[in-house]
Order: sequence, then structure tokens, then C-alpha cells
Amino acid sequence: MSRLIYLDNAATSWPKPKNVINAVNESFLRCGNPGRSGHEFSLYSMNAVYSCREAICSFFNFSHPENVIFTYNTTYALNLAIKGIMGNEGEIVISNLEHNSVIRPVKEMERQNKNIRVKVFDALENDDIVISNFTKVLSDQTKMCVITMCSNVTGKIMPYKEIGEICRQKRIALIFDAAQLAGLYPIDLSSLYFSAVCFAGHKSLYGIMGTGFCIFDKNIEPKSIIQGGNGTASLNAFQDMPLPERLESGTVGVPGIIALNQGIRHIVLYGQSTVTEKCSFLERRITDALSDMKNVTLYGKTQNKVSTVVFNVKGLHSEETAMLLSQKGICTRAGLHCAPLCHKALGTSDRGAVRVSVSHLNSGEDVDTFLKNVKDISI
Amino acid sequence: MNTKYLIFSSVTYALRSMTLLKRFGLHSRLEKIKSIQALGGCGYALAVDASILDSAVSIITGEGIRIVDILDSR
Repeated sequence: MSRLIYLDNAATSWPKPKNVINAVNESFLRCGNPGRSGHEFSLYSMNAVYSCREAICSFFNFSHPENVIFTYNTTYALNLAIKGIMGNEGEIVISNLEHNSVIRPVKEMERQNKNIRVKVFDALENDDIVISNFTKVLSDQTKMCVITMCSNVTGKIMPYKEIGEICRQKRIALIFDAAQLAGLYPIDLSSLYFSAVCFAGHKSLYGIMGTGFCIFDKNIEPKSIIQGGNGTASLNAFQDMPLPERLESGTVGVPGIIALNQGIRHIVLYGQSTVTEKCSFLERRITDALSDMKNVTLYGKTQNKVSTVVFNVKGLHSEETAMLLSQKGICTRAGLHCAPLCHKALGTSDRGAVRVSVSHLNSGEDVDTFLKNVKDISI
Repeated sequence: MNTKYLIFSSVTYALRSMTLLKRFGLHSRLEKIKSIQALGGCGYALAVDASILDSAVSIITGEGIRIVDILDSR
């Protein structure tokens, strides 16, 4: 088999930077349980966890490290934010680009509570129409909006700042899913309206799997949805303490948090703008070349996107195309990408689509080899 | 050295305070404490020299961080 070409970075990034791998390895030699004990290993972990809270704040221009909550993935962070803020009644508005990590929690809440209703708006169009669709679906009953910053299928960047301003004016709680955008594109939380923003640590922030986090606005007081030990106020049967401990039940994933800190450091050293430009360059190269292949259908073409392209080859199921590419050592992701509403809107619910997602660590040669193989498959 | 122990509602606030003091050139250290007051908090205290206590308290509370208690011993 030829060398491996990894184009599945929207699922999880690969390869991990060396500083990330080294830091994880070292963590097994030095880390105790943070926030529990007074010995050197425990204090080391506490400082490591806090250091990552500060690194996250610095990277996203946010000034409250105690409002950074570590989780195990974006799904957990979204559940924490949605269920911790929503309450027992009102409408929740989501877009049709959302991942099942948003769709399933809100639909389950709707099923369990007759006073909660979920409304969906179409976000596949250009930004003006998206804003119009979003505004039309809002009502006096809208209590919360949960919106992805970037589609995990098409790579489209949502007009999330404009959506934020509308929610600010209407005083609607707003939760962003930043899993696909963070690390690929600069996110400045200091100028953004939000109630919570949910992140993956292992995608374009270059941490390891099993790591996510959520940032709550300083004026939000979310309820805990999972309770347990956290080393704080142990005599109290209720978990009413301040953030972050209120929401961090049980031992946090210290090696993953250390990896995340190093992943962010990697991006800072490389330069966010360089990462963004490289990914956009590679994405455009793929988009342009696939557009010229007569037996290839591209979906969700838009100017405002980063790193992700989704397509099908005529006559092939998406899984067949991905398998043929895999046999050539090229890693892509076929299927529905846990985003059923998006695929329904694209008309690809029956066979899914093949997603290609680059990172700044991919080369032009990687892209050219991928394109040559798609061309061979599609003839 | 006469040491004072600052108690916080969570270890994160203790660590944030320690980072804050460091920026002002003030030394502090995190210690596990046995005082009963700690059981209502995080079980840790920020130990500072008594000579810098007023400055430390002023800097920390100036950032909006609540100090739950100040103890003379652990």
C-alpha cells in the first residue's frame, strides 16, 4: 500500500503534533488526581488543568478561566449547555446543519416535556437567506437557539456573529457548536454574544480523543446535569458550588487536557492565520478540481467555508467510493456524518456522501494524489 | 515567616488568584489544609506571607474573586 493520506480531520485530526504526543506521554509519569490531594502529583495536575483553562481563554479572547468547563467531547458539552440552561418550557431553534449531538438532546427534551418545542430553519442557502430564515422561525416563545458555527458536512461557516446579534437583541439564550470551526478559523469570544460555546479538543485543536470543553458566558448560571464528587464542599449533598466545579463531576481527563493545551500551543506557534489560509487553499484546490470532473457531484458549494468538501461519484454509494479510496491509502468519511437533516436537504439521505477534510499538516501532494484517485474511480 | 491562608470556594479560584498575584510579583503557594472551614470549600488554601496579605487581598478581590476566609493556620 502507498503511504497513508489522511483527509478525515473533521472526524479527528491526524497526525497529532509531536509536542502533544510528548506531553501526553509525560503526563503518565507525573499526574495525580487534580483537586483532591496535597502531594506533588496532585498539585502538578491541578496546575496543568488550570494552565489549560488559561490557554483556552487566551486563544479565544475570553477572560474568565473558571467558566471553562472540561468535558469528554463536544456532545457532552452540548448536553451540559442545553440541559443546564434551557429550563422546562419554551421553543428551541436549531438549523438543519446541526449534528445529532444537538438534534438528539433537543428532540429528547421535546419528547419528555410537552412544554418544549423544537423548530428547525434551513441554513443551506447564502447568508442573507439564512438570516432571513432564522429570523422568521423565532417567536415570543423562543427561549434558546443552538447553532453550529460550521457545518460538519459541507464546511459552510454560518453567519454566527449576525445570529448572535439577533439573539442579543431578543434576549434569547444562544449556544454555539464550535466543534468544526475552532482551530481552523479565529474565534473571538470577546465580541460575540453567546450563552455557551461547545468545543472538541481532538479535532482542529489537535488534542486527543475523549477531550472537549464548554465556555459559559460570565452571566450564565447553568445547572449541573451530572452530579458526583469533585473534591469541593464535600459535606454538601448538593452540587451548588461555583463554576467550574459545579459542572465537572468526577475526575477530569488530565492527559487529554494537557494534550489540548499543547494542541493550542501548536496552533499559536504555527499561526492561526497560516492554518486558516493553508486549509482554505487546499479546500479550494479540491473544490475546483472536483467541479471539473464530469461524473462527480459536489454538494453545498459556498464561498464562506474552510477545509471540508463533500461529494459523490456517479453510480457509486458513498461507502463504495470511500472504500475504493481507502484501498489506495486515502482516509475519508462516507455516510451521513451524524447530520441527517443536512443530508436530507442536500438530497443525499439515500447514499450519503464522501467528506474530505484537510488540515494544515496536509500537503499539496496529498491533495493531488487524492484527486488523481477520484478521477480514476469516476471514469 | 508568619503565614496567612486564604480560603476560596473552589481550587480554580485559588489557582486564578495565585496566577494573579504572580503577575504582581507576589509569591503564594497552594496547600491542602485541615481547618474545618476548608471542608465547606475546596480543601486548599493559598498561603501568603503576612507582610503581603493586604496587597494580596486587594488584588484578588479587585478582580471580583471572593475570599471565603483568611486563617492564621492550616
